[in-house]
Amino acid sequence: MSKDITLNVNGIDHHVNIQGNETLLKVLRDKLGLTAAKEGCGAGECGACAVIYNGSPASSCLILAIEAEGVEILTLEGITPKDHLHPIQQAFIDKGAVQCGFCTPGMIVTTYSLLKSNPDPTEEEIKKAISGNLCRCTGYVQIIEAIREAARRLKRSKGRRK
Amino acid sequence: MENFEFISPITIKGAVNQYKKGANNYYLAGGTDLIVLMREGILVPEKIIDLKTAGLPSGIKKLKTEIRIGALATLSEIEHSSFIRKEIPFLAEAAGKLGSPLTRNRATIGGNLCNASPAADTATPLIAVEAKFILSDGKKERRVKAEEFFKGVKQTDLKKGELLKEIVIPRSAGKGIFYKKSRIKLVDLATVNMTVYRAKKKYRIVIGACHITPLRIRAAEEKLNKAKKIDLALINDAAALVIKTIKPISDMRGSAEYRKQLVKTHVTRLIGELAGVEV
Repeated sequence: MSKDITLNVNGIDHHVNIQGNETLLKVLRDKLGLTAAKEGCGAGECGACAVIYNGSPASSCLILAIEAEGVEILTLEGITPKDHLHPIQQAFIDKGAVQCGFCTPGMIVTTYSLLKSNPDPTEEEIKKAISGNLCRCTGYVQIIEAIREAARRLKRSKGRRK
Repeated sequence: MENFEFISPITIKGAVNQYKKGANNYYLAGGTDLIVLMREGILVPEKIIDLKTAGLPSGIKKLKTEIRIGALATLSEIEHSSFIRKEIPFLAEAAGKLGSPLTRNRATIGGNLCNASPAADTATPLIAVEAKFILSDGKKERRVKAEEFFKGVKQTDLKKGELLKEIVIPRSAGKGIFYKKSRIKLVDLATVNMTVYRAKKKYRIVIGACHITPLRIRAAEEKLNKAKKIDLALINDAAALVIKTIKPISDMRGSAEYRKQLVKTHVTRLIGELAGVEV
């Protein structure tokens, strides 16, 4: 079956015609041109396709686009400010947490969600939060450092705004 | 993934009617099992019936004598519910050890139970607290004991079209411990899992991933419940009865022998912890 649906992605309503068997990930990438989320395993194990779905990170490869109608979806494109990088992105660069980069969008989406609910996570909490995001390059050490650094920077910038 | 018809029923009755219209229709909850199987071509459904619009009770309800968990409650909701963490912490722990956070944010407790894997992480705590499942065929409801819901590998007591609506847990001051062993600390499926529970000096022992269903070991429970005093020798006897009853298989997650050893070690440890006996 095919259907015209409205997907709310990054605060914008997109009217798209989709097939019933298209995943949210496929529609984001192929029909909306939002290619930050990647297809890694296609089985919900690697986290490269993570998006914030209804307020929590989820694997968009295991969500049907058709069930996503009416749900608020936030992708890495929606997290990235227009004219500069998000502090999490900058921290990933500064700490050498990006090698091939394939897992990075999912890592940053998961980190964004973690730091929103827990601005000062312990190392164990970080490890648990990113346990569904696999990285085959870095060995995770730099990623964990980057997340701690991002937490510090976000706290500082929050302090400045007060 | 092959195409299919997607249906968003607005009542349970509507969902059941749609389901019954074909032989190859599937209910969709969180999708973290179903969509994987569809993507791999193992399942090629005619219709997908989305339960999330069908008016099933949602969330976790605290009543005077019981706790009710809607079948569509996600594992994250259960893991983080301050009420569940306080009252049934071993269920929160089991929920929090299933898959990854990304999976738990979508996967539902109803899906975990109806998928009926012998290693389902939420099964052993629910059997241990003698939970009941409310099943609905759209017209009538019936209650089935958690323990009797599981009939075999991926087989349940659900009749065609019937769905799991709600989980009812009697409130009690009992204490339980959940244990899960997997090859890696997080994300993996269980090599074995188990819950040992104690209320009013009575024990309940439930072992997962060691039989065609999660298994309550009554012989071992009785051994403990009949005794005037629980000591290490008695705990060892009870653990031996557990090992005698389970029938684990060898697979990629461990050999039958290894599973038996794991169960022996940890069931002994858990009973000891609840009984206040050093093991």
